[in-house]
Amino acid sequence: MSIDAPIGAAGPGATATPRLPPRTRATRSRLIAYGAVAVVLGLLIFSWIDAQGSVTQFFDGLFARKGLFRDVVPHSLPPDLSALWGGVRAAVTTLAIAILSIAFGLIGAIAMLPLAARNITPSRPLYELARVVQAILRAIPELIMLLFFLIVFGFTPFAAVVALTFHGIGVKGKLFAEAVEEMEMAPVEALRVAGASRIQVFLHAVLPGVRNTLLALTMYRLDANFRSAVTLGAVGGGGIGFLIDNELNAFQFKIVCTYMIVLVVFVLAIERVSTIVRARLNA
Amino acid sequence: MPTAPAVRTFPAVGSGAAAADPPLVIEGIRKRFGENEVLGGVSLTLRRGELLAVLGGNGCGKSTLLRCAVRLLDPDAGSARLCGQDLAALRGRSLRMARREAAVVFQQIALVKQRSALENVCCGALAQMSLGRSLSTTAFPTEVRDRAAMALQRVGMLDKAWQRAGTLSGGQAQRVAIARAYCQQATVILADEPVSALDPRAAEEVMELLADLAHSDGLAVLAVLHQPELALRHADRVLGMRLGAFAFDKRPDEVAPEEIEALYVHLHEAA
Repeated sequence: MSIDAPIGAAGPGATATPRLPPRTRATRSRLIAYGAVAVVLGLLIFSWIDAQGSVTQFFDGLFARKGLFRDVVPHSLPPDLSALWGGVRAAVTTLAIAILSIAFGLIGAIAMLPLAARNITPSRPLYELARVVQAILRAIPELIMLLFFLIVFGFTPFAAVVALTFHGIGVKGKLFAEAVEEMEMAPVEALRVAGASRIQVFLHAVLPGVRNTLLALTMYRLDANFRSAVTLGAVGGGGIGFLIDNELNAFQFKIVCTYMIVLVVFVLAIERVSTIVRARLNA
Repeated sequence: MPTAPAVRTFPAVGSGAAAADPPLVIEGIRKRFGENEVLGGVSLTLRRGELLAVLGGNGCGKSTLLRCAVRLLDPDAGSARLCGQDLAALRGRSLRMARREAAVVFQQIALVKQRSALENVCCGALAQMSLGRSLSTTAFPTEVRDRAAMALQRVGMLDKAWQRAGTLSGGQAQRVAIARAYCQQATVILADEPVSALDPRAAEEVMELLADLAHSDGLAVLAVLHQPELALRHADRVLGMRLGAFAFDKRPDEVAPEEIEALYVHLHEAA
């Protein structure tokens, strides 16, 4: 039979075109898909209205005579480089906040790991408890946590460190637990049968097995923590965020521009280091 | 190609001095997963110095039997006595101590890939170390390191001692896993499809090693296999399993090809 022959016009011995069975399940799936699209569209429209979205306001804000590009940007250039060293010094403080909170968060998340991973937890209630604690820590935004810790520690960068640490335990704790739940269990079972205790199994099979994944996740969180530390700084946590907030309030846009340049350089540098380290860990 | 081992004489099943004080005795073990009865009250005795091969189709209960033997799974009924201790009666630390007598070699490579072969082998002796000495691999006692080196030498892997486990070939990694069992000083080695992921040459070498550990070192070795030819060539006893029960328990030279075929044909037809 020629490849160009029409369907049904087959040669001798060919059977008639087969009749396909009805697509009952496919039709149902298609209806569900249409319904899902309708729900998503509805959600988008509701969100636009509720967030008071306005295209006119958007373009006015950017391009009108008193908008960002025709008013704020011209007043920000050239950047005031006399503020450069102060900006770098403050960014280093922000980086210190990020590094300390990452380190403490890492310790906290690893400490919760033996309870929070379903495949190694000693009991179901302890697992549920650990996961609930992590969920609560994740649910409270860093900014709200900072407001509480400012009362305890005063207006110091350490308040930001503590706020980011607790939030980080919630975030990293969940990511770490999921990494352990997906790990290969054969080395764990082999040590369990060999009579190793829970702590020994955790130290010599679980942790080494997921070490690279945990470090990669931690490095991924470092630049996120740096950006969060900038935001917390504006609310009283110190660092470059605090300086930017101050200068914005004083309409010192040229100094703000210098700080923004410092900020972008720091974020890009951290992202680059994070990417290199993660690539090496995954190699 | 691997050469066939020299012709061996097989000890009679259940005879001789080795039959006394068997290190693993399984009696009437039953295990059910939902409606599916995977083990229907099976019993077996594993003696020192013997390699017992368990054959059977997928889902016939071979791996479940092995896991119930060391209480990686709790059986619904029956008992498993390891070196005279009923594992079902033990909890916590006493269970851990009793389980030290058995080592499991898995189908998938059960090594920590980020660590060296030597460190992996040392971990076999974790149960014999205090918590303080086992917190870090650098704190492991010298005698454990020496024993691990001897274990690696025993399996012909001493030259790979410092190589990361993740960079070893399948056959090499499986030999390191066996060295860990040797370092553990276990009396019983339970191997769950130890050669399934290996090429024929590596599979032959691993089976030769398991047989040698049984015959030269007096260990009791139970290997779940999917390769009847390897079982017949290396094992002292072959146990056929079908639908959660033992179909035969014979010396390799007594097993008829039809009996082995029946283990798999039956399952295929039932499906």
